[in-house]
Amino acid sequence: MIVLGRCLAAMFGGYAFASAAATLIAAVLPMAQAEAAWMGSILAVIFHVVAAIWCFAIRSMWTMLSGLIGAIIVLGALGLVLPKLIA
Amino acid sequence: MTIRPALQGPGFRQSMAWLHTWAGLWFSWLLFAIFLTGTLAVFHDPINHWMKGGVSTAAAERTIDRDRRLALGLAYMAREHADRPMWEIWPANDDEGNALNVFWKDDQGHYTKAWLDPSTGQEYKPVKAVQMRETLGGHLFVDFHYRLHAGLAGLWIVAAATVAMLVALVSGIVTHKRIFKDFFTFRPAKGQRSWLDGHNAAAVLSLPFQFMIAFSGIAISALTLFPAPIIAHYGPGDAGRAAFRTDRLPASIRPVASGKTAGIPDLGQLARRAEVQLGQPVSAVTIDQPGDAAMRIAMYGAGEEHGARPHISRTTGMIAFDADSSVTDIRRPGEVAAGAASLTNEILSSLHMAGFGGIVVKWIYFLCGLAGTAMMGTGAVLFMVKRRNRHGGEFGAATARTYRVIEALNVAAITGLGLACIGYLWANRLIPASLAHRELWEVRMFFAIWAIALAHACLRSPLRAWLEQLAALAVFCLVLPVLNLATTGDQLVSGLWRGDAEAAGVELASLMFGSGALLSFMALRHKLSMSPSPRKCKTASVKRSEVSGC
Repeated sequence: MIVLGRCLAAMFGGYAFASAAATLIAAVLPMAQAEAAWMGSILAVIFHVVAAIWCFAIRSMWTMLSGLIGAIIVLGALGLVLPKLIA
Repeated sequence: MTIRPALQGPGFRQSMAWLHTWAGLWFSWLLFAIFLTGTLAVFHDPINHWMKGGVSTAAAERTIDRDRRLALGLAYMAREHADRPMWEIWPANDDEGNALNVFWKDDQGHYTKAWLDPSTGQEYKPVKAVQMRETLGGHLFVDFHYRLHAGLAGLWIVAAATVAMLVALVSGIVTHKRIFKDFFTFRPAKGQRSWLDGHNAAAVLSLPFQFMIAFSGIAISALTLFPAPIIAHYGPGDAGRAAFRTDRLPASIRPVASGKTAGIPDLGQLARRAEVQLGQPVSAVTIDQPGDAAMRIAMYGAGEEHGARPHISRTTGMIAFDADSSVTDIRRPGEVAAGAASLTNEILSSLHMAGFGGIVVKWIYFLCGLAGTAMMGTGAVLFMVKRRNRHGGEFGAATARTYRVIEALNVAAITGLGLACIGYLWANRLIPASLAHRELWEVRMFFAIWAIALAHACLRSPLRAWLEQLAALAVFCLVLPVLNLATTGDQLVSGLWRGDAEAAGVELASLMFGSGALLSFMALRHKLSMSPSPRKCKTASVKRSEVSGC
């Protein structure tokens, strides 16, 4: 059960974390918007791999999950809000 | 599953070792298939050539009057498609045997193509060369390795496996205590240790390549796989994607009609000017807003095979002219129309597809790809070799049954896929050239042989299954040149004699794989006769770690 939970966290949580990180990169890279967005997509997989390793490396399930979800919320919110603040 | 205790072990290294074992095991079969077919895909052109029956696809060199062809293409478009906002002319399209082709976009926005007679300018329907076999050729390997021949769903599955591979690589490095020392360590014929050494050697020697090929593979599909930034900035769905595309390219490449008419300049003369500036022959011309004073005429250079370039990026040069024949825009070979991400994407895709450096780089990719394939294969075998000596009990009461399934999947994934690949080439020669949709039958044979191999691996004892499939693989690979001789009358020596390295190369590679399979078969049988105990017998041949790619 616990293994299954970690696998799901690595798969879907990792994907969400990568997407959030990519969105933030797209918001802050000093390039034309389309280029920055594409660059975010290209780099996203690195974040997915890091998150997936996190999901199995942290012994406490609670620390692992709260860290992952917290990071997704913070990065995602920054990625969505920053462009509006700048504009 | 009682693998939880291992996961809750004390340190980072232990949890990474656990992750490496299990992420590696569950994805090794799929990754082996992706790597083997991807490695073969490096040489998809020679495989195409062989499967089409050794018929040379390049048309005989003819003198081509390019000025006249450009003028005929232009006249045809002005006559038949004057209202289209974009005309495209390929005076000598080398994908089509140097035919004169014109393109435009129809009402649905689809690219549409016509063939024109280069002497009269009349449209005609091309007839296929009679001798050609209808075949997917090496394209099956290309398509399978990135989307399992299953479209978008396959792309996502391959992507998930690739992320798992990157996770397994990182955790494998963490697990590895003596990465430099193991570089020089190889203990042959020591059972489990040999498999471990082989696995480490294949992985460590080619590690940078494995990271590069996995990352670039994901990155070139990044817009499909990680669309979040595009959705966040441009909105969801096709509309968002279209807005992104429009925003990406500079506005100057989409001129707006001014309403004033203007004559189209002499294309032949512009092409000569473009060639001087680009240092590349011109292969295609596009005209946006033809006949309008705001028109944009772009001349595109030909690809690398028409002249060596020192760039990894494969983009060809481009020069744009306006209605007065003055240069408005120039892009050197290797540069891209837009910014850093476009260039990154272009370079990553060229890196992934060995699009630079010619035949030498292709062979390096082939060898590194085989090393990656061997890494997956030895890893999967190592898992079982380890547990054949010492029961792990990871699956509780079902452990023995699960091991049996893993053994069968190992056989089917490694030798079974090898049989499917060589069987695909056999099917190409044995299915009659006249059969309707014969190319689909070739693909069906590929999957059918694989399924039969899986069934065989489930029915026979693991050791028997290994031996029999290795033997079959050796026979099919080694006899391929004979089959070719019997069916087409062409053979290896005459292929070499006339300098047809592509056709001969396919058969030489087949002989190489066949020899590898034969050596593994003999080593395994030798080991079997040495030790009658079936528990130990398969820990023998380290040679197979090198040839498990076949």
